[in-house]
Amino acid sequence: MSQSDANDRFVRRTAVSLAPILLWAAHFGLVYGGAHVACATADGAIGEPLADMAVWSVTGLVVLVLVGIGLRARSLLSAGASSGDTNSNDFLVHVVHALTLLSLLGVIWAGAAVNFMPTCATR
Amino acid sequence: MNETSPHAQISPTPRPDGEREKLLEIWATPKGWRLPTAVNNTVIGLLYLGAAFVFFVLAGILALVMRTQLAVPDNDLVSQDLYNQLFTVHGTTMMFLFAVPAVEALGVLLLPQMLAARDLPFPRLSAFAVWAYIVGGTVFFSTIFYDLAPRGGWFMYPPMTLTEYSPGDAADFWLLGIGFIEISAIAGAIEIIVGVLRTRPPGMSLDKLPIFGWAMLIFAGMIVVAFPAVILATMLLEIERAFGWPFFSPDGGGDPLLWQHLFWFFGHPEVYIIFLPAAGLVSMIVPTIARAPLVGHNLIVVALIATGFFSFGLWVHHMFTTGIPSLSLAFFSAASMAVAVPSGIQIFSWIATLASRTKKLRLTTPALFVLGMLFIFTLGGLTGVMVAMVPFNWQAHDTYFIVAHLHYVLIGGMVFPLFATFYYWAPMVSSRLLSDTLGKWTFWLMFIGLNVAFLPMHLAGLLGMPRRIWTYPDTLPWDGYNLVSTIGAYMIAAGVLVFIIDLIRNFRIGESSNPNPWDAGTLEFLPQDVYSTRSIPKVDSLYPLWDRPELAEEVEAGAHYLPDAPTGGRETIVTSPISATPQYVVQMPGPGWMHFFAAVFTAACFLLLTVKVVTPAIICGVLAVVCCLVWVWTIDKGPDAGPVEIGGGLRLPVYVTGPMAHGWWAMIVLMLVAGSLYLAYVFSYLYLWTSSPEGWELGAAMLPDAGSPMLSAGLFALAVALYVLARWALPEPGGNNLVTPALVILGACALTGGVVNEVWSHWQAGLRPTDSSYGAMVYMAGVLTAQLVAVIVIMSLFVCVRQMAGKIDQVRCAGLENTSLLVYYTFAQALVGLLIVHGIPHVAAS
Ligand code: HEM
Ligand SMILES: [Cu+2]
Repeated sequence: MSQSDANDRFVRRTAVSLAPILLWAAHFGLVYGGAHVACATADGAIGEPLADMAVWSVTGLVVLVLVGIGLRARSLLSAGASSGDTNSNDFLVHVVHALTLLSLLGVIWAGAAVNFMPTCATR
Repeated sequence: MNETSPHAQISPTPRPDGEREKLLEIWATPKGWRLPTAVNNTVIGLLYLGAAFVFFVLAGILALVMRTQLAVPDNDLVSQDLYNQLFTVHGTTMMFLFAVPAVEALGVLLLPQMLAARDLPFPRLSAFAVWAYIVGGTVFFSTIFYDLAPRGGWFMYPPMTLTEYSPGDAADFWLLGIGFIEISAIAGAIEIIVGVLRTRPPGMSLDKLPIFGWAMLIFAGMIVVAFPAVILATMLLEIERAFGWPFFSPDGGGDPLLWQHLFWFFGHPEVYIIFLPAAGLVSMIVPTIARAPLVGHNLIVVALIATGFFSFGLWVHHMFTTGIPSLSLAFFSAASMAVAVPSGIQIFSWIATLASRTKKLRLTTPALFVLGMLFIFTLGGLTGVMVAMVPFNWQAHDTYFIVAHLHYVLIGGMVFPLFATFYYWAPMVSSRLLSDTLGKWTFWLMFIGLNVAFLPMHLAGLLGMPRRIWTYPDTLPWDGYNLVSTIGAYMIAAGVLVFIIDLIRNFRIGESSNPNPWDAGTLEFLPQDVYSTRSIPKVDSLYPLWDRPELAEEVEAGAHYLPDAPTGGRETIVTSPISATPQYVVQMPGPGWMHFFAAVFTAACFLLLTVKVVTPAIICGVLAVVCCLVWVWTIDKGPDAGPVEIGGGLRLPVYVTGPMAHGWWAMIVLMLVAGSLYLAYVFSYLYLWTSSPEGWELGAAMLPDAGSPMLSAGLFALAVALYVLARWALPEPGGNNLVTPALVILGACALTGGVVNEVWSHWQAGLRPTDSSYGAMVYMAGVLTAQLVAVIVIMSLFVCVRQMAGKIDQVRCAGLENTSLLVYYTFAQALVGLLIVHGIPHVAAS
């Protein structure tokens, strides 16, 4: 039994289980950081449409990846896993599914803001 | 005993005579003047909880003084200056000395019992954390009596807290005291993470982990990510106050908003750090009062995880009025509302569980506190959604509406569950239950008092009453509301007083004759003694005591795992992190003085530094290090006592190294802490760059040429190679050689050389940390790496001494392995640092 099997392939399974919410975090960081830099550096005329485009495309991309993870949760989790531990695998599949839904909500909610708010103005 | 039970044969019964006596002797709690040496989680947990409760009462008394002052207009009971100290110390004590320690204490106290582990994996570490907190906290609190308390509010914003506006030592007490207590919280978090993941009973795969275990796991994970941000912030502010490196004052290119970002990146998650464990407690109590399994168990786990993450996307909602672009505000506003969803999931699940009950609801005291919590926390959550909306926030910012909101959330979300906990889990540690009658008095006084005290504050706030004012004229329409608030505050105090009377009358430490008075389903209600449970049960469901009523009897008869003490000392079973398959038996240290003295000296070192008596501070620091080394000297007990039988035909080793070892996991968590700290630094560096780019443009001209960072990088890489070689060169067990010590010393020297070269080259180029925020940031990278290198040097010397004492070899190499892990991490961090410090200015200049 290799060390990673002895540890239940902990790193891989944790990474997959948390992937949806980590994607939410990445999305959040990207749109916030991106908008901040775009507004701080480029002047309004180029900066604003650029930032808007960036937010839209990042949001779209992350939504697609999230849906993909949600659909393939089981195979991602059990790839190469030792058999016998079906309880925790079923459980982790639940976790991925529910986290995917919550993350989708968070991502879309944040990304949608760009449709309603001026990008760089402070009020 | 049930003969047909599949578990009855794990260990043969009846157990031999004298086995229980031996367990009792091994796990005995030291008595009398040796009590400070105790490390049992129940003793340490109670001490921790007791201390946190004392701070709650003390900070509550300060609140009463404030409320008395505010009861009528134009009052002069306390001066403005004292009032400023009062709310600062009240807020700081409640947040840092009461709320976080209280939930951490519950983790120490309850987790091992819920996991039927004999103790947490690093008993002395939690004892160290507790003593450090008690000493440090007491000194911090007493500053209020000597007019030495800080006045900057619990979030201590600069420029208010810079030397110019806060001269003297008061602000330093906050910075060093709180920074230090955070270190103790991190120590506790490491303990909890490793404990939850690695000391579950056999069979308790993650899907069967009780919700409180999840809550504490996420709590600890959040501490690991969030606390380093505020530790960095306090370091920067303290360095600016002491040495004038301009991080926050705009004159030198600093930015006071940097503090707000760092503080709230910690401060908002802090609210959930407090709330999640409390919610976890509620999720344990609700099924018992409903006599039904928690509805949507898996969803609650997900809700906890999601809350943990989302709460890091909220920090700017404390800064809505600082002139950040609207779109950015909208992101944070969205996250602030999204976080309400998982909280909602939990609340609905609790309600559904209560509704799914088949018997009549028994309104015991814990049940009342849980229902009260649902009501109060929901109200606080609703006002939270209100202030998450940017336009409303602009109106309510810094008014009593906020004071009302935060107390509803904190008291509803944390204090009420805590009181429910006191009543619910008392039988675990006390031979008597607390009185239900007095409990109900406590509840109603606190519940009504809370609403009387804080509901009117919403209105006073909407009428424009700002927070943090020491008095107000009678021409304003606030006096009625304030008087009512004050009356409510006294009602809460009366409730707490009744509780204290109940404690005095009924709380007696000892084993209860009826360990499961509520008919609960989880392991902490198994029969217990100082050694925890007699044997460690095999678990196969979420509510083992409900599903297998005979379990208590079996466990008590010693029919499950580890009914004896095969290594002859303190030990518990380590299981794999997901499926909880038994892996090895960990030998744990017993009582000792050294962690106690280490805590006292560490606290003394920090406090002496605060009042700037440097030499004694250094002496205390050295003594603390020495105590730590003596303490860890005996921890690595080696493989000699194993392998051992634990029952069920399992023979397990008693010593492992590498990714399976619990010590290895602790090192990884520690590296995550260091990584978070460094990320916070990188954020600060980039932030100050965008806020004063001129400094960076000038800085590019002052950079040493590329050879110097190359040399540093080379030295760091060399160190890594030397530590890898040192591992190979270890002797066979029983042998001895001097190759490893030599390589290790060389490695430590290479690391030191790398840091010194980097710092020296900037100094040579004429850059000074006091010149500009740019210079300050460059030297700060050196400071952060240097502190790691200092730790590595100490650990390396320790490894050398152990090797020469014949206590390190090919098999028994945990000490060297842990040092090497830190070396690898330091290498990575230093490289990132070099890249940033030598790369960004070029980008800035071009
Ligand atoms: C037990 C009853 C309590 C009462 C009567 C009370 C009362 C007060 C009062 C009067 C203030 C000052 C308001 C101002 O002048 O701006 C305050 C501030 C505060 N309280 Fe409480 N409090 C109580 C419990 C708590 C608890 C349990 C916590 C946290 C766990 C807490 C955390 C805070 C914080 C963070 C502040 C803000 C301090 C600042 O402005 O820097 N309080 N409280
Ligand atoms: Cu917040």
